[in-house]
Amino acid sequence: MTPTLSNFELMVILAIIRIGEDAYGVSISREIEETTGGEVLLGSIYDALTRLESKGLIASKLGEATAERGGRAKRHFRATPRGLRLVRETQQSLVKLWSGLPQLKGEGA
Amino acid sequence: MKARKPPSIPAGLLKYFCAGPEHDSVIGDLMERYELGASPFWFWRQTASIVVSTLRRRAIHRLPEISHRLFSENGLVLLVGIGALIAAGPFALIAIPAGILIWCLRFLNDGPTGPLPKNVLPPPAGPATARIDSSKITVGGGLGAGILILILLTGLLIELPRLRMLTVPGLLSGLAYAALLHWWRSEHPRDPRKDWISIRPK
Repeated sequence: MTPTLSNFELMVILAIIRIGEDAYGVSISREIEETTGGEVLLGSIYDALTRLESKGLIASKLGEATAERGGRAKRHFRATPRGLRLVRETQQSLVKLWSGLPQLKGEGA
Repeated sequence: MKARKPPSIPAGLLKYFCAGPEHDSVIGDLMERYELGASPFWFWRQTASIVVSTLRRRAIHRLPEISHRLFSENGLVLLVGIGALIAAGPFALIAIPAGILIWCLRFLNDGPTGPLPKNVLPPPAGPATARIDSSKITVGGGLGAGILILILLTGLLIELPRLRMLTVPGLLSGLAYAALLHWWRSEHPRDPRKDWISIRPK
């Protein structure tokens, strides 16, 4: 069965794809905050990351530990081929839903 | 450069609830952003979200165990609770949280409890059979029965106010009975072979 993505999960996986190699908790939260303009809770991000990883849509590996992190290692994330395919399919579905909606064309909508 | 010290209370909460290595990454992220200039208030909010999500994950993970215990092992407790709710009305508002508290304490107290006290004899060795003697109810069972009796008596007193005069002698006799039990326990060491449920050699 094809897994589904919640709105927040889609944002997290898109942020991972946009960041590329250096996608970890801090960079993902910053990317989402800069895009949406609101604050994001790290607990929510890690909840979403855990769910995405359990669905096989992203993979992670431990990185280096630094002093500014209290000697704790970073966990780097990347989208798996399955995750990329699902994001593409979601995009196509959303574009189809968006197209031809006169209500969303003008500012007064 | 000296590292910025995070607020001590949320740091303590993280240490208590998120001690495992699986939390290293998220706590590292938290420390890194705090080091880069986030406010203590931000640290508090982020810590709350991490602790809540950790507890939620643990509860989901242990849900089958909790539901199994609640509906099989403690099914009788649930039935008694529903009965008490119907019988005692508003007093069940006190009885139900008390029951949940006792259950939680029992749940947390599971597992090895250390060496036996001095006045407890060790269980006999060798092949064994289970034996139930309902006349030897443990203190936990007695407490549960006492709470149930209290609830039922309270319900009765609401229905029949004239019975209130019996409260004082009832309480006094209860205290005398508890003192007698306490004296009996101190004078007679517990023998696991005579417990209400015990293991007996064949």
